Formats: sequence, C-alpha cells, structure tokens
Amino acid sequence: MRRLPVYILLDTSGSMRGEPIHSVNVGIQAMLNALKQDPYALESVHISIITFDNEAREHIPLTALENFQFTDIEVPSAGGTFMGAGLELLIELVDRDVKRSTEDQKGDWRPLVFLMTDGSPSDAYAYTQAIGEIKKRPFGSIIACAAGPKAKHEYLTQLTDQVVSLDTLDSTAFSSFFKWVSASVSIGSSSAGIADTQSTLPPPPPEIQLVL
Amino acid sequence: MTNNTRALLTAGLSNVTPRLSELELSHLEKQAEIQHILSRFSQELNEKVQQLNAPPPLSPESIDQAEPVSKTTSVDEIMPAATESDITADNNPPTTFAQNDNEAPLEIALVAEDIIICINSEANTAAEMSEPPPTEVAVPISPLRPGQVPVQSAVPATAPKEASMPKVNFAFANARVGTAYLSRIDASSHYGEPVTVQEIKFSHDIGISFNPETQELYGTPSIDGDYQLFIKWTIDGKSSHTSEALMIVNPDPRSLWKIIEPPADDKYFKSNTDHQMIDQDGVKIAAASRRGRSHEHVGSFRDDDFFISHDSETDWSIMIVADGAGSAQNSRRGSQLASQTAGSYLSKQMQGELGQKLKSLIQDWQPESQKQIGPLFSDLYRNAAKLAVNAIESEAIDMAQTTKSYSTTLLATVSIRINDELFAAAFWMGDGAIAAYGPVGKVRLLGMPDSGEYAGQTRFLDNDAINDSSFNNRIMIGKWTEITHLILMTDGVSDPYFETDNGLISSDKWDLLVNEILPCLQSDQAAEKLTEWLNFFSPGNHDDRTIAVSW
Repeated sequence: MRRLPVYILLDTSGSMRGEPIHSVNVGIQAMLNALKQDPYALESVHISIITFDNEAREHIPLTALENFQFTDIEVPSAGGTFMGAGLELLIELVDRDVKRSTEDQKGDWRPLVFLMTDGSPSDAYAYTQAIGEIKKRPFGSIIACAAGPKAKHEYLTQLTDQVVSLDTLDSTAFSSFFKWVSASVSIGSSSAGIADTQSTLPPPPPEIQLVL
Repeated sequence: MTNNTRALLTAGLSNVTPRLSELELSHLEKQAEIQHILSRFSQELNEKVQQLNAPPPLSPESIDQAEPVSKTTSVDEIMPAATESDITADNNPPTTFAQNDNEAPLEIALVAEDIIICINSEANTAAEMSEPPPTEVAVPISPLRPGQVPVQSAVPATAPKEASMPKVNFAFANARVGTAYLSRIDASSHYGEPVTVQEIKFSHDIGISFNPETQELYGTPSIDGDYQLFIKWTIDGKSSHTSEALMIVNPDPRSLWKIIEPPADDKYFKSNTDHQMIDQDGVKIAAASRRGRSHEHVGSFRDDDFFISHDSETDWSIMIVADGAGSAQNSRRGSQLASQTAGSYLSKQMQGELGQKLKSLIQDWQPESQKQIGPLFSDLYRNAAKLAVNAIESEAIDMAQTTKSYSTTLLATVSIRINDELFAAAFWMGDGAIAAYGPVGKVRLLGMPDSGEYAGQTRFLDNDAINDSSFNNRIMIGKWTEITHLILMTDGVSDPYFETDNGLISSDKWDLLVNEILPCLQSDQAAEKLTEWLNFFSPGNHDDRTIAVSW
C-alpha cells in the first residue's frame, strides 16, 4: 500500500496559549473528520504532528489515518519559536519514515508538509540552515501558514512559495485553514512527473489569503 | 473582542452527551436565538467581571508574547482558555480521563457576589493563584481587605472522593464500520499495578461489547463516529472507579466512493468508459478503458486512452495505451492525441513498404536480418513519438495552454503472428506494463517502467525523452513461440496486480492476471466484459485503468 505521509508542524510558543491553541485543536479534529470522509485519504493518508516551542517534539508519530487517535496539543507556559528545530526534526523523521521505491517495495507518495506559526523563528540561523536541507528533499508540497498579525511572511517565503495567511487566531480562521488542508491532502496523491516539484492546490476559502 | 460564539457554545454544551458534531455546532452557531443568548451571557458576565477587576499585575512577557495582558480582561478572552481546559478534560482520547483530579473540569460558579474562575492548573486552587502564570489570561483575585474571608472556589480543584484515584490509561484500537473488531484493552496504571476492567458502558449501541473474561472489546460496528465509553475498573478488586474514553469508529472507505459525472460541455469531454474489439482472420484484439474511482469521486474525467488496429492485408497489429498525468490539467486530451497520432502513423507505415520489408526480415530471422530490424523500429518509433509530441505542442499553442498540461505516457506494440510464432516490437514510455505471456508460467516483460523513488513519479513523453541517447532502450523486439497473449496496460491495472518492479517479472502474478481476464476474452463481447472487469476493487489503487490484449 502506497502511503501519503502528511507532516503537520505547529507552533506552540507561549503566544499560542489559550484561544489560539484551542482553535488549532478544534481545527485539527475537524480536519481529521473531513479526511475520514474521503475514501482515498482513509486508505492512504498517514499523519504526523510535530510541535515546536523551546524545542521540537514529535507529538504523534506517523500514523495511518484509520489508526489515528488525536490528543489535544498543549502549550507550555512560556516558550520561544524554535522553528529551525522544528524543521530539523521534520528532516530527521522524513528520512526515517518515508519509504522509497526499490525493486521489492513501492515507495510512498512524496510527503506533504503544513507548517503553522504565529510568529517568526527565534533560531533564525538554524532555520535558514534547515531550509537548505529541506530543499534537497522531494517534498510533494510545503504549505506555510502565517497566523495572526505577528507572523512574519518573509521567513516563510524562504521555505516555500506556498504561503497563506490568517488574519486572526480564532476557530473560524483555523477551521477553514484545516479544512483547506484536508482538501489539499486529497490532491497530493496524483501522479506527477519525476521532475515536477509542486502540486497544485485547491483555491483557499475567503478567510485565507495566499501570499504571493 | 474576538468572536467566540463557538467557544462559548462548546463550553456551554460540554456536558451534553453524546458530544455534538462539528456540523450540529455550526448549525447552532448560526441561529439568531442562540447568538442572542450567548452575547447576553458574555455581556452580563463581562459587566460582572469588570466590577470585580482590579488592574492585573503584568506578567513577564514570554519571548514572543503576542499581546501584553490587557488592563481589563474581558470575559471574551477568558472563556476560550476556560473552554480549552474544559475540552481537555472532556474530549479526551482513549488515554486520559475527566475523572482525574488533576484535570477537574472547570466550572463557572456564581457565589453570592463573587465570581471565581479557576483556570485548570495542576493542583492549584483559585485561592492559591496569587498571580496569573505568565502569558495566561486570568481573572486576578482582588487583594483581601481586612476582615474579609478568603473566598473558596465553589469547585475545589481536588475532589476528595477521587483524590485517591490512581492515574490509569486505557488503549485500544480504532474500529471500522462493517469489519469485525477485536481489541484487548491495554490498561496501564501510573505505578504499574495490574488494572482489571469490570464493565464498559457505551454512550450509544454501536455494535461493540466488552468481554470481562478476556478483557476484550469485540463486535462489528454498524455506524461511524466517535463514541464515549464509560469504563468501570479496579486495581485492588475492592474499590471501583469509572473513567471515560473515546472509541473511534471509521467509516468503511468502500462505502464513501461517490460517482460524479464530469461536465458534459467540457472542451475535452471524454466518455467514462471506452472499449473496442477486433476479430479478423483469427486475430483477436480487445481494448478497454475505465475511469478510476478517484476521478469518479470528484467528477473529473478519465485521463487514459488507447488505440488498436489490425490490417488483414498485411497481418500487422498495432496496440497502444496511454495514461494522462493526473496532475496535468489537459492530460486526457494529451493521451488521446498521442495514442491516435502515433497509432495512425504506425498503421500507415506498416501498410506500406516498411511493413512488407519488416515482414520478410522477420520471416527470415537470420542474424543478418535480425540486425536490420532494430534500427528500422528505432526510426519508426522515434518518428511516431515525434509526431505525437508535435501534435500535443500544436494543440497547446492553439488552445493557449502549456505543453506540460498535456503530459501523457505512451506504451505501444507493433506485432504480427507468423505461423505459430509471435513477433512484437514494443515501445515503453512511462509506467504501466507490456508483456508477451505464454505458455502458462512464462512471461516476457518487454521493457521497464519509468518510475521514481516515490509513488506517482514517472516520465512522460516529451522532446527530451526522444532526444535522449538512451531512447533505444525504450524499444524491445523479439519473436517467440507459444505466446498466448500480448498485453499492454496502464498503471491503474499494473499497480494493483504487480505493485513493484520485481512483481512485474513474477510469472505467478501474470498467471493470476491472465486467469482473471480469460473468462472475459472467451466471451462474444470480450471488450465489454473487460470494461466490467476493470472495475475490480483494490484498496489504495483507484486510478484510471486501461488494458489492451491480443490473443
């Protein structure tokens, strides 16, 4: 069975406490429910959740959507935005988890990455270094989401040309973002040329602005 | 003030079981009456809180604190935090429990004139919270005036009855509708004592029961969704405790496939299925193509295409299958153009001088003649590929589209039966498979699929491929006896049947495939039967499927 690995990187820095993280948790639950109604996703999607604040953690290791049991993400009382550490962990996990084709094994689909932050990297140097490593790897799509007024687009556009922004950190914004994520996931499993880099995304809902 | 209707609603309804679905909540959220109740509630509470509110001590800001703690805290900002605690306690996956004293659900209680909001924090009673933890919005407790009695929280954060309840986690597998379920409950206590589950009650009858003898959940669930389980358990056999857990029942993916018709007025309209049969002079060729479930589900078109022809004058047969890239917008037209263009060129060439020349060389089949055959087919296929690419490029210019948006694979054979032998020259560009099969247990793969390190990666027909020095590696020729079937297929068929490159050369897998299609081929309507057969179900493989067989 060819898996479609989906990595979700979430900012759990101090400023995400309270309503923002609650909205994220609700949004992820809604995303899971939407994906479960997509038969293709139900058979192939595997999800991993990575959180980053003062350190990066594998909140839930790569798990088949069918076996996925979501536990709410909590935000430590204070913490920075070590996004570079988050990307380093992503690289480590992708190298460990994602299967490549061999004569005896069918490779996975190229992994999709969704990164959400409400700030900018506290470890800017590590972040830039990690981006270099990310570019060497065959991600199907990397989508970065700048949530709220403090999120800096310029850092995210270094990582990917698919940056979206949310004006607010409330549940309306996050649930529309995660719904859109689930629609994008469904597109991640179509055949593409070896040389192709990015998949096309479905048009985002009104709460989400594409950053060009 | 942010709009927290949903948060308030979730908080207010947190004790309702079963939990309301996202859909029900959003439906409620839109009702004017509900909105009115909620806004009145938050307004009244706000007024109340503001009266009580002394300026809060400013907390040290964390590294990227989004906003300083405001002087007056509106309840609108408090509620979500409260809600969050509430949800944490209530919406637990099958591992933690609301019963746990460390996670006592938050309640808002009106005590005389005072409102105490305890934000759920480990073993912290509201009275102990002398100042809010950093970055957390909390209602500061007014300093005590002389003679004032400290206010007790209406809900002590530690419920004495449950204070001794050990921390226990319960883990069990997710279920699927219509599939027999059996999962042992893995109960682990914080200190490693053995936990015995005595009884489990369900919020709904979902078709699953608990067997205390085996400590297993079993049954066949009939309905999907997330359901609350109430688990009664014991460690010492004397005192029992009850915990809640969540049972996740997934839908059966097979029940979710929709069939949506593609737009009838599309500029590149293509029928969902197509088939063709040729039966002349003992030569039988059938081709069938069917839209994949992944395209049916979203109402997009079949991207595959085929071309077959046979000339009874010269005995040459042509078979082509093409698979338009799923990621390319106009690929359904690309596969059609490529197969038709290459097909008609190949047919025409084989009817003329070249066909005659090749036929006599093949009949001779001596080393001298064999040497000449290769280069002739190399030129023939190169020209066919060029014409196909040119046709696509012209179309792209004409329609103001990119050439890439017409990306397609192209697999072709030019074949002839002479006496009891089959000669075939195959051209292979992309994924899928071409094979000469027979007798039983023997298969000759006529080339290698183009595949990348990851699923769905392949190469498409373009000028780079034609000008590549290894172009000739895409061509394979041979003459064999006892070949019963010459078969071409797109990856929609080869992926489920062969899966890997090693699978493609496994004669067992080919035996299986041929056995499956034999009944179709023996019918008077072989092509129609093949089209029906292409509807087979294989988890994870829902691409368009096209097969062409000559026998």
